[in-house]
This record gives sequence, C-alpha cells and structure tokens, in this order.
Amino acid sequence: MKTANAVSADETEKTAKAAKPAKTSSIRKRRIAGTVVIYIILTIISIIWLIPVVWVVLTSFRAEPGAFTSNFIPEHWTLDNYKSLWANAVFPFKAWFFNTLWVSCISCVISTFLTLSVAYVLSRLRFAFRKPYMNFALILGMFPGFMSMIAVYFILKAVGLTQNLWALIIQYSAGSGLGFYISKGFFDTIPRSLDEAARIDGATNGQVFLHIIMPNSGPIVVYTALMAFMAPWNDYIFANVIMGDNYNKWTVAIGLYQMIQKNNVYKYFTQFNAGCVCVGVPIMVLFFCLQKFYVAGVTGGAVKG
Amino acid sequence: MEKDGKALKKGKVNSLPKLTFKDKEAGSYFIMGFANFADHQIIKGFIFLAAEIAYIAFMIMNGGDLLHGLYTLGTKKQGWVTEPGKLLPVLQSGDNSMLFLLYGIMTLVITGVFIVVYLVNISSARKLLSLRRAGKRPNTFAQDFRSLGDTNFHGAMLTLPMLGILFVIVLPIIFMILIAFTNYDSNHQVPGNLFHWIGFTNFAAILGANKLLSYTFMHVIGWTLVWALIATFSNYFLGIIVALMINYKEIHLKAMWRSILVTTIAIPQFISLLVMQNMFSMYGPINELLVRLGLGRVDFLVNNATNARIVVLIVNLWIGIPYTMLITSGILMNIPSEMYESAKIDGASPVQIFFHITLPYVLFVTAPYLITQFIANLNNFNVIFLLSGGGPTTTDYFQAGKTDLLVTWLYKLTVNNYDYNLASVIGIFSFIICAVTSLIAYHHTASYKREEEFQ
Amino acid sequence: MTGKKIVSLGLVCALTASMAAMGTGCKNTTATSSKGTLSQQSSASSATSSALGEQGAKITLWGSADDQKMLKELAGDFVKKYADKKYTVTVNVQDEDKAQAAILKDVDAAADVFDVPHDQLGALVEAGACYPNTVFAKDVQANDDANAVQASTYKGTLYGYPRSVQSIFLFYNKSVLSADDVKTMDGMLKKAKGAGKSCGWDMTNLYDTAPFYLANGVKLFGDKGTDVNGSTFNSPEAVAVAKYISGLKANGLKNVNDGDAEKLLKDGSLVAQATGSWKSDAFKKALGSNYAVAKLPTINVGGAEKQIVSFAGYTLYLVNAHSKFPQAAMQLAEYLTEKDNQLKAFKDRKVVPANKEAASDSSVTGDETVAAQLEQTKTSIPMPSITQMTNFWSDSSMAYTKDIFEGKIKQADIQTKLNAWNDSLKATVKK
Repeated sequence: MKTANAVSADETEKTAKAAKPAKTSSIRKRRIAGTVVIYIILTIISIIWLIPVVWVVLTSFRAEPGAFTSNFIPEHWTLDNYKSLWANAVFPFKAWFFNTLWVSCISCVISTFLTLSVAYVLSRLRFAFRKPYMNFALILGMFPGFMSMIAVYFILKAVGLTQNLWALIIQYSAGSGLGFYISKGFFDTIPRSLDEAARIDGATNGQVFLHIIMPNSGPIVVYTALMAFMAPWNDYIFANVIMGDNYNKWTVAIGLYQMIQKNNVYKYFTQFNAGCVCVGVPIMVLFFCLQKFYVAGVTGGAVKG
Repeated sequence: MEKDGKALKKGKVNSLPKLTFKDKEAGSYFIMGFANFADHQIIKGFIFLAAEIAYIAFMIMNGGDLLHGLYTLGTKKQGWVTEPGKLLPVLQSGDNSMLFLLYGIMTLVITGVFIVVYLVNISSARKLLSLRRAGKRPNTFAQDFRSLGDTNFHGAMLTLPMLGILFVIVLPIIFMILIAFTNYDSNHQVPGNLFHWIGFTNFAAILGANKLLSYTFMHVIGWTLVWALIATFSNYFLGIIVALMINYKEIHLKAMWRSILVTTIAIPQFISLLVMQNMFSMYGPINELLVRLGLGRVDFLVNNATNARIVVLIVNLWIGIPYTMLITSGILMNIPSEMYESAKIDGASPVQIFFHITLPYVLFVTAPYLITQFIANLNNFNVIFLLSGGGPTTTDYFQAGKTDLLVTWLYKLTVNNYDYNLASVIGIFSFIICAVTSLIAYHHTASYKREEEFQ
Repeated sequence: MTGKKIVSLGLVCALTASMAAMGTGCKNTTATSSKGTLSQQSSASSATSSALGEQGAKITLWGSADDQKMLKELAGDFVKKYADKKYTVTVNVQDEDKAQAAILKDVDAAADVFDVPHDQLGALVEAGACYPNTVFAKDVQANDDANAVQASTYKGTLYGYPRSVQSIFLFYNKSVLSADDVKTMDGMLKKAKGAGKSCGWDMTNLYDTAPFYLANGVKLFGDKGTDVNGSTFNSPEAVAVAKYISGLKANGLKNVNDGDAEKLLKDGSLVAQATGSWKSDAFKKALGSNYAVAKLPTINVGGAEKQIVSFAGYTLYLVNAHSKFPQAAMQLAEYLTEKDNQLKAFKDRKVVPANKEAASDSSVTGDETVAAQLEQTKTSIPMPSITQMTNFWSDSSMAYTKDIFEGKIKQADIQTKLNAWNDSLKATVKK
C-alpha cells in the first residue's frame, strides 16, 4: 500500500516529461488513474500469492504444536522447530537434506549434459531416425507414471540398485533424452553460419558443440540445470517406492510427507513447516538469481525468431 | 561434408552392394563379425561375435523359459504344506506372474536390441564388401572411435539417452500396457496368486459392459477435458494480463512484483496445496472471513461438486499464473514498440491492441508451451489429489469423486484398490487422448513448420 | 554406417549387462523359505523352547518413526533373551497405515515382522504375504479376548499377534456437557443447542458413521465379518438409522472433520467430537481443563436407546510368509506382544494394549482417555478384514451416509439408495 502515494507522485513527474505537448490533460489523468488501479491490483495479487508462503514461514516459528489453528500469527515465537529439525533423532532431516542435495547435484549434471547433447544432435545433424525419434519423444512422456513405477522398481532391483541413491539418480536422469524440446528450439536459433565457419577451420561436431554452441547458450544451460536440480526436491511418489524402509536414505520429500501423516501431524507440524522453509529458501534464492535465464529458457530462442 | 551429409548418406545406403553367398562377407549372416574378421577389423568383429554368443547363451540358459513365462504368466501357485505331526507349515514358493510378465518383456526388448545389432553387423559387412571391391582399406578401430566426435556424433550422443529411455521408460510402459490385458486386480495379487491373460475384457468393461464403470469413465473423461481446457486457458490469459500489468511502462519495482509471484514456484506443491486445503476447509480462514463479512459459510470442497470444481480451478490459477507471467513477460518486452506506436496513431483502444497485436504475437511464440500446459493439466495430479482428493465423493461413480481426473482416478484404483488392470486401461485411454492432441497441435505450430527456415 | 557400429558397441554392453542382471534377478524370485519344521510336541506354547528359532537369524522389524526408540530397546532385550541363538534384529521405519502398500509392492523386500491394522489382514493373506500363526496360537487365544482373536483370524486360520486396539469414542467439553448429557445423542445435542454450541461428527468418513448402523443391528459381511453376501445395509433397521441420520443436522449435529474440530473445540463453538486416540494430545491442548472423554452416546432408533457400536481396530504383528527366518520372526512377534512389553509400549508410546491382562493393569485403566476407549471397545465389533472391505471403504460407499446426512438423498429414495449401496459392497468381480 505504501507504494500508492509515493509512486504516483513519481509517476506524474515521469508522465509529464514523456507527454507530448499535443496531448490533453484528460488523457494524462486517465493514465494516472490507470496506473493507480494497476498498483492496487498488483498489491492485492501479491497479498494473495504471499499469504500461504507467509503462513508457512510463520508456522515454522510457532511454539504451539498442532496443524489446525485459527490464529495466523503465532502466540509464542520460537526457533526450536529449526533446532529440533536439524538434530532430530526420530526423523533424520539432516541426512535427508544432504541425500537430496547429492541426488540433485549429480542428476542435474548428468541430465543437463544428456539433454543438451541430444538437443544439439537433433538441431544440427540430419540422420535417418531423427523425425521418428522426435515424435516418439513427444508422446512418450505422456504415459501416467504410477503404474510403470512398480516395473521400474523391479528393473532396478534386478540390477541390485534399490534403496540406493544411485537408483534415484538413474530414475531422474533416464528420461533426460526426452526433454530436449526447449533446448532444441533454442539451438535452432543460433545462426548456422557460426558453426559452419568453425567447421571450415576443421572443427569436429563435438568441438562445435562444446566450443561454439555451449558458450552461446548460457540461458538454456541454466534453465535445463535448474529444472533438473529441482525435480528431486518435489518428487515423493517415485522416491518412496524406490527407497522403501531405508529411512536414512530418504529424500526430504518422503521425509516431510511422513511428518504430516495422521499420527505425526500434531507433534511434527511446526517442524514440518521449518523443513519446508529449509527446502524452499535455497530453491527460491536460486530462482531469483536465475529468473532471467528461466524466461529465456522457456521461450526457447523463439523470441529472437 | 556434414551439411550435405543427408544426401550423401542416402546415396551410400542405396549404393551398397547386396551380399551374395559368393562373397566371403556373407559369413556375417551366420557368424556375426565374420566379415570384419575377414577384412582385418578384429576388434569390431570381436564385439559382434561377443554379442551373438552372449545373446545365444542367454536365450538357451534363461531366455526360452522367460518367453514361455510371458506366455503362461506362471502355472505354479504358492501354497502351504504341513507335514503330518508337525505344527509349522512350510511355504511352497510359486510363480510370480508379475515378474514373469516383466522379465518376459525384458527378454523381448533384449531380442529387439539384438536384432538391431545384427542388422548393423550386416550393413557393416556390406560396406566392407564395397570397400574391398573398390580396393580401399576399411577404417581401423581407432578411426571409427574418432569419428564419434564428428561424423558419428549423433551415434555417440544418442546411445546412452536412448538406452536410458528404453529400459527406464519404454519397457515399463510396455509392461503397463500389457497389464490391461490381464486380470491383475485386487483378487489376483502376487505372489500369493497367479494372474492370466484375459484379452479385451477390461476394455469391454470400461467401455460399456459394466454400467457403473463406463458411466464413471465417461463422466471423468468429460470433466478431465473441461478441466484441462479451462485450467490451461484461464492460466494463460490471466498470466498474460498480470505480465502486462507488471510490464506497463509506468509501473515501478517490476523485479519485486515478479519475484513475489515467483516465490510460489519455489515452494514444493505438496506444501502449498496443503496450506490451500486448510484455507478452504469448512472452518478455515476464508470461511471465517466470509462469516465475519456476513456472507455466510460456503462449502468449498466437501459436498458441493460445482463449488469444489471452481475451487480447484482457482487454486490452479494460484499455481499456474506465476509460470505464465514469467514466460510471457520476457516475450512482451520483445514486441517491437513500433507496432504499438503505429496502432496508437491509428487510434486503436488498449483492448484492440491486446487482441490484435499482443495476443497474436505471444500466442505465436508460446504455442508449444501452451500445448505442454494442456497436456500437463490433463495429467495434473498434484492439484486435484492434494487439494480435493478427488472429492466430493458421490454415490454415482465407481471409486471416484466429482473432481477426479483420469490420472487421479487411476491412482486411486492402483493404490487403494490394487485393480492394476482397470487402471492400466484408463492409463492407455489417457495416453491416447494426450498423444493425439499433442501430435496434432504440435504439428500445426509455427515453430514446428518453420523448423528448417530458422537456420 | 560406422556410427551405427559404434552405437552397437554400447548396445552390446547394455545387452550383456541386462542379461546378467536378469540371470540374478530371476534367481531371487524363486527364493525358497526355510525348510525347518517343528514337531508338535516341542511347540507346546512355551516361547523359550530352544527347539524353535534358526541359529544366527537376521530379521527385520517395521515400526513407525516415533516407535523406533522403544522398538530398538525391545529388540535389544529380545536378542539378549535368546542369546544362545545369536539373533540380529534391524528396526526400520514403516508406518502401519502404509504398510500394506509397502508389503504388496515386494513381499521379498518387506520386513520379517511388521504391524498392520487388522482390516488389511485379508488382502495380505490373499496376496500370500503372511505366515500362519500356528506355533503361538495357544498363547494368543489365552491372552487376548474373542474380538482380538477374531481380528487376527482370516478364513479360519490364525495369523496375527495382536498388539494394540483402537476405536473412536467421544471427546467433550465438560464445562458445557455433563457426563449424563453425553450418554444419549439427543440429550447431548439438546444441551449443546441450549448453550448455543454444537456437537461434531465426521460424517464424510464411514469409519465414524457406520457405527450408527451397527447400533441398530445392521450387519457388515455377516455376524463374523466373513460372509460376502451377509451385509444388511438395506434392511428395515438400516432404513430406520438412515432416517435418524437425516434428522441429525436439524438437531444441531455438525459435519466436522478432525482438523477443523481442533480449532472449533479451542474457540469453544464445538463442545463434542467423536474420534480416536490419535487426536487426544491435540484435543487436550484445545480444551485445556475442560477436557473430558466418554464412550459414544446412544441413539434413539426404533423406539429404544441403542448404544453406538464402533469398529474396533486391532494392530497386529504379522510374520512375512517369505521370511528367511520365520521361526525367529515368530518368536519376535510373540515377544513384542507379551504382557510386559505391551505395558512398556503403553508407558513409552501410549499404545493401548490388546493383551487382556495388560489392558486391565492399573497403569492403563488409570488413564481417562484410554479408559473411555476401552469402555467403548467392550461394545465394539472388530472391523471385517475380508478383501471386499475395499468396496466398503471406497469413495462412493463413503458418499451414501454423507448424502443422507446432508439431505441430498430424499426420504423417499432412501430405500433405493441403500439397496444400491448394499449391492455395491459385495461386488467381487468388477467386470
């Protein structure tokens, strides 16, 4: 709300500068009114969007246990939820956090590399099964995954990988050959003349990919990596099937979900929220820093085209 | 070189000579790698030979049984035997139909991979024949290996991802599809029971033989499509409008407004949706507010199907708008300002400008994104399952509620009911809808049609 | 073409690797259980019998996260008790509510001893996951009441080792309602209404609403809960209950879920809620010194006051049919359900004992909440555990009573709807 007055004064000045002499003052007034309305709408939207987030943060500092309270602001404040979360004997959150971080980092590196190389190959090279592969990849991701979970579990079991963090890494990286669409769109917009010049100088396809395409694709690399990094923090279902009862190897998603089951929710709800903050904050910071790459990534290079 | 590689390659394939039994390379038909050995490509020949030996050994030792198991899905049921005079019964292990099915499919996939290797072996032999006739030396292994970085870059780069896809995605999907043709339901759970092939019975049940089931199926499909359409387009348009507001040139602190919305992307959905569920509950904060405003309590999620459907759509806006906003705000900045200026000079109103300039431009760029979103909404498990749980429950449906999508319904059928076969049929239908929609839509987008023009 | 050859190198590697994997994978599937049998004579109910138990057995036990500390202590004592056998016990986390799914996912990977709510017994036995309890059958019959034994039995064979019992009962605010008020539903509602308050019940959940029908003698899968065609949810008795339920809303009963109840009890607008002991900590906090508990009230149907009959839910320890060391596993299951160990579980974790002697121990009966629950379970029936219970717990089945309560089903349609409900319960083949 604070913005309304301060900014509209600022606005008037700006509009005044920008306004051409021909424009009448009524148009100017309308524009100011429009700006104020937009500010009001944006403020309301922001409040709506922030309430759940603020609620999670406030609950994480709440001293009273329990999930269902009518008061938004805690009656008593505490840091104990964080302390007991990180030193918890019942729920080893610390181990879960670093498990997830490890899985995230490794699968992020693997799948970023695989996705980008597939995208490059499909963008630049022409070979027999290229079109079929692209159509195939488009529809393959659309099968509801729940039922194939059990098959994946037994395939991993056959190679002795259940209850192992590598199983999760394989699971999260295996599909990376399918997620090339956005990066391929981006590569398509990098002028071919660049790599042709390099090839005349004798560069191989591999060298073109590493030395010409990659340095020109900052946003898409960041975008792909960011998406791959976030997946393990969100996935509950697959991780649960693969990890089973080995709870020292759990990821935070399974662990947090466990905390809000019927028998645990009263006792652990505030710790659960503290856990959410611990998971959410790093991802949020990453997101803020890399926002512009994300935008460039999702829109592919299409903007330039 | 590579730029006209396509034409060159086509020519090459056609020009390779046919293998006849007069040529020594024809030995490759029976002993894989024979031609390579004959023409001094020892390492490559050894690889082919090893593949053949490994495959034959596997088929003799395991493969035959596994394929037979795929056909029967097991014949011996697990049981208990108590010897006379003894108290403790002993378990007699039986066949596990589910593993029979899975390993049978694995054997088929391995056979498929072997056939590919065999065909490569044949074409290698043909190429060696043509080189020998032309009096040229074949590539050494080291040369072949180096070509991976260049002319065969696609081979090097695609092998690993494709193997990953084959074993972790394709194979499980085949497994799931085949379950639709069995009676793997709550009465035939492994390892205590066997299940069998039953043909199209499950499809018939869902398409009409079982009234309750087909009634539920039709209604759930209907709601799934309605949901996906409304959810996708409402997110899309409102997201664009929010982006337009933030991008409005008189608005300050653009980064702040954007960041506030983006905060929600960073929070795992099962957390934010849990909060939402609490807010919309019968005695939750929103209802308390309504009561205080004198508007009365509203049953958002429990009993009223229409309310619940509206609530899930609204909450989906909360989830989805930040994404659209983020994506379109980048695009909006790229719209050439001359387009706006000239429109203004022509006296166009802001609404006209939106529909005639902004929207077409954004739509053009984000068409693929829109398709992906539509598909994602058809399969939007999180919002429905974590918010309404598919409810309100109804006496008219089979194991489903009024806001259940196909995907949440099939989840319930597997997790609560263990009716894998029915869930599998629903999964197949859901897949067909998604695949057809997206293939048609995608092939009509500009970015697909103009793929070659860009470069 | 050379490219394809190189690709084939990768394929060959994958081929060999996966074939090797399948070779070992298949072997795993045919793992046979221990062949050790036990003669009838040596089994005679004595748990310390040294004839039982595999030397050096390594067994796994499942329990909820909060139970870990206690279970590890008990497991340690167990290993000491059978020191000559050199057992190793590993305790892992698995909530009992989700145990069924985890076991059915892969019986071979499940724990040797696990605990589940007894209504899942049928599905687990049908899936071939449970070892019959023959060796300690006499102990179970001697130490547990008839309901617990019935709950541990499926199709005439005893499987379970009863651990604890749960049921819903009434939490209320004693500053508004007296112990006399909560004896009858009508009395309770009237008093609350007079004070401008209301009483809550989760009408969306059959676990909480089916007891109304059971009060009037309606049968769920017959007398013993084993007869597929034995449900009488369309009988005149059931219709009478349905009509009674349809009038409850007007009398001031509110459809409140457990989560909302916590808030409403705290702000005082709600003065009673029926639910189970898992909410007792939260409700104690919400009600403070006004916290009180009682068995469920009676309802007036067919011209008489009838006690609401809740489901008794037993938690059972079960031995995995695919256990490599079933005898040691049975000894552990038996050990965990001995009187002293159930009392320890009660002391440490408030697990209400199923064992008759333990349940009558003064430390147990001295707890008002537990006493109210045990009072309620005296009139409870064990939930049936036949596999058709999935029909009963399904979404559509849940909807009938809720719709009747909310007035969505007209009085005239009640009979037709109940007929449909009753039919849906016995559906065995869904095709």
